[in-house]
Amino acid sequence: MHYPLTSWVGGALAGWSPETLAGVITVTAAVKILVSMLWLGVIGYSVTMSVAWHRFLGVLNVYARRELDGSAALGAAAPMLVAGKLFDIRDIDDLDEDATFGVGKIEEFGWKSLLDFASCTECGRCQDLCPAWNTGKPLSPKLFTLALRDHAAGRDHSADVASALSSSGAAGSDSASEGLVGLVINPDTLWSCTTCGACVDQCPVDIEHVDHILDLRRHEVMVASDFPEEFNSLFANLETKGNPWGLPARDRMDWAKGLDFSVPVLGKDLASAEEVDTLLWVGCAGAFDEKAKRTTAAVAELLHLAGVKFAVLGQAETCCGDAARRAGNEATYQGLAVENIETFAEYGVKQIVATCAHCLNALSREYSQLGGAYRVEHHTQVLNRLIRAGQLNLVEPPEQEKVQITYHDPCYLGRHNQEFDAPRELLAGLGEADLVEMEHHAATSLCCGGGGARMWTEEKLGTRINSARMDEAVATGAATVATACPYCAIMLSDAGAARDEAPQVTDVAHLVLAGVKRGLDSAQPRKDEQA
Amino acid sequence: MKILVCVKYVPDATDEVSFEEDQTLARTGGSGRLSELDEYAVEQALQLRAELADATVTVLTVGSDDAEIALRKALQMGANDAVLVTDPAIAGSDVFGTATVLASAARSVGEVGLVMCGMSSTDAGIGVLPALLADALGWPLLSQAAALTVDGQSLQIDRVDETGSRTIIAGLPAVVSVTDQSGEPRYPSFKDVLAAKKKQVTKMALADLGVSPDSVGLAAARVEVIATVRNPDRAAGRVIVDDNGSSVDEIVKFLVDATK
Repeated sequence: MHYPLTSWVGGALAGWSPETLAGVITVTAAVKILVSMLWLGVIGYSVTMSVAWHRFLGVLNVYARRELDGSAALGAAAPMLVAGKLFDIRDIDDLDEDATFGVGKIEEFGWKSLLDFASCTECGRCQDLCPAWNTGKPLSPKLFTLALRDHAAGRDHSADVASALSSSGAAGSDSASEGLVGLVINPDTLWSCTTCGACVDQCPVDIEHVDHILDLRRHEVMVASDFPEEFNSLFANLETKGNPWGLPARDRMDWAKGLDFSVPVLGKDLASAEEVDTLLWVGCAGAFDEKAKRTTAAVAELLHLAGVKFAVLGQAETCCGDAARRAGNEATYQGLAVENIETFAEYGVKQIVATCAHCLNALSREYSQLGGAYRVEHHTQVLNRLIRAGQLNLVEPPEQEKVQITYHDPCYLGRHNQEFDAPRELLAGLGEADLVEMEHHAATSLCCGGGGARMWTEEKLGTRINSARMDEAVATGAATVATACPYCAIMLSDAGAARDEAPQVTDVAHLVLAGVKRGLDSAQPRKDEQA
Repeated sequence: MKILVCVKYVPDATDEVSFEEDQTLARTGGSGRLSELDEYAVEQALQLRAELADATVTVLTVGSDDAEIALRKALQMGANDAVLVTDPAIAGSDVFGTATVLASAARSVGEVGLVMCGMSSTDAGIGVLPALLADALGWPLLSQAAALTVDGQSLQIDRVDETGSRTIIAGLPAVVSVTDQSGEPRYPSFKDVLAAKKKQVTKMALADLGVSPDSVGLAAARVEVIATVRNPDRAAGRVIVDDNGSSVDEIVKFLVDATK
C-alpha cells in the first residue's frame, strides 16, 4: 500500500535499526505519558479552569438537573428551602429564630449550585441571548457564573475574567459588605435580570442561572432588606391592596362594563365553579391596565360567542404573586398564592384560562408547590382549541385590509411554558403569508424587559430592552406586533410611543375577535339580497 | 431612655368610608393600616435608638382592637414593644380626648424621655395632637422636624419650610413631630416580621390609666361634627378641539361664562 501524504515519514526512518526504533517509540510514549500526567496535574490544581473541568463535570451537571423529568429549570422558580425544609408561609411559627432565607454567603449555596458554577464551559451562549447584556447592563450570565465559581474555590479571578468583569461594570467591590451581593456580585448585575430564561435554555451543560439569581434576590429582600427602591411601593401595594398598582379591589370588574352580556361572578351569581366550564382568571393587569382590560373584554366576548360557560372571581381575585416571587420576596408571594388557593378551594375551581403569561405560569406551574393543582390554559390555547372544534369561526380580512404581522413570544408563555404554536396558528388563520418572524423568535425570543419584576423598576443602565425588541419588530417591516401577554403589550407600546413611527401593538385576542366578528357579519343576509 | 411613638390606625386612603348617624366614622373591621405619616416617626425613633446607648422604642396607640394591626407594623419595623389603649368609653373622642388618654398612657408607661408623633394623621389631618399632647404632659414641643439629634439631655431639630430651615433646641423630656421629609421608612425584612411575632403588645383600659370616662368619648367632645358631605364625583371635563385657532373664541366664551 502506498500512502502518498505520510509515506515520506517512513522513508526518513528507513535504515534505522529495530533497537533504535524501539527506543524512539519508548521515548515518544514516555513524553506523551508525562505530558498527560502533567496536564492532569495542572487541571487538578486549577479547580476554576472550567474550560477543562466541564468535560468531566458537564455530564454530571446535566444528570443532576433540578427537574426530575429532565426538563429545563424554567417555568416554576425553585422552591425556597430553609434549613433543608420547604418554606411554607403557613408554617412560619415552626421556623427557627436564626433561619436564613436565600443565599447570602457562598457556603449557603447547595451542592447543585456549586456544581453549576464549576461546570461552565465559558462558551458565552447565555450571554449572546441575554437581554440585559445586549442592552448594556452589567449582567452576563456567564460572568455571573464565573465570578461565583472563582469565589467558591477561594481563588482570585483569572486575568481575562477579572478584566471582563471590570470593563462591564459587573465587578464586586471591596466594600464593607460581607455578603455575596456587593463583594462578589454587583447589585446592578443582580437586579438587571428579567428572568427570561434564555441563558438556562441555551446552556450546553444545563446550568440553572435563574435559580441562583433568585437565591441571591431572596436573601437581599428577606434578610438584608437591600433592594431597588421601587420595590418598596411594589411590596406595599401587593401586601395592602393585592395588586402591584395599589388600586382598590372593588375596581376589578370595571373591564366588564360595556359588555353586552353579563359575566357571572363566583360567590355572587353562582356558588361553585362546577356550574361553569371554566374560570376566566383576569389578573391584575387585565383588571387595572387600560389596554389589558380591553384584552380581557375581548377574550370574554370570544368565550361568550363560542358558547363557553365561564365565571370570574371579581374582587376575590388577588395578585398571582409572580412579581413578588421574581423580586425575591418569597413571603409576600406565598401570602398571595395561599389566599388564591383558598379562594379556588372555596369555589371548587379546577379549570382556569388566563390572559397573562405570568399568571399562567404561576397558576399552572408554581401553585402546585403549595398544594394547588389546576388545569390552566392560556387564552391563545383555548381560542385555538375552540376554532379547531368549530365553536368559533375565524374569517381572514379582505386582501386590501391585510397587513403584515409579526409575533412577539412572551418569555413566560414561550420559553418557560413551551407554547410557541397556538398563537401562531391563530395568526395564520388570519392570512398565512402575512406572518413574518423577528430575528429572535420562538425559543430564542428577545424579552420585552418586563419580567423579573423589572416592570416595576426604572431601567437606568444602558439602553432599554423594550426599545431593542421594538427595533427588531420594525426591522421586519410589519405594521402590527401581535403578542399574548399584558406586560409585553405595555412594554412594547411604551417602546413604540418613544419612536416617531412604530407598528401597532395588539394582543392576539383582538385580532381573533375581529376575525370572528367578520365571520358573524358575513353570515347576516344582506338586506338588498332579500328584496 | 424610652422613646414613645404615638401612632394611629387609619382607614386605607382608597377605601370607601361611611359615617354613622352620630357623624362618627363607621369602622369596618381589619381593613385599615398604620398611618403613613406615622411610619416616618417610627423610622426616626429607630434611627435615634441606634445612635443612643440604652434606648428602647415603645409604640402607643388609642383605638379599637383592630388598631393592633398598626402596632404590629411598627413592631415589624423594629420597635421593641407596644401599648394599645382600648376602651368602649373612648369611642367618638375628639382630638382633645385622644390627647388626654395618650398623655395618661405616656405617664403610665414610665421613664419616657421623648415622645414622637407624625406631623398629622392621614384621615382627619388636623395636625394639632402633638401640641395638645405636649401641653398635657407639660413638655416642650418641637414640631415639624425634618431631622433630629439627641445629645445627652438636649434635643435638636431642623425644621424646613417654605421660608428656609431653622434649628431649634430644647431639653428633654420633650415631644417631637416628624415630617415626611425626614427620610424613607424602612421596609421590614422577613426576619423582622418573624421577630415581631414575639414582641409584647400590652392592652390598657381607662381604669388602668386613672382617666375618668366622663372626660373622653363623644359626649365630652369639644369639637362637634355637624355634617359630613361626600364630594361630588369628578365629572369629565369639556374637551375643545382646536382647528387652526378655532378654539380661541370657545375658550374665551367659557372663561367669561365661568366668571359670571
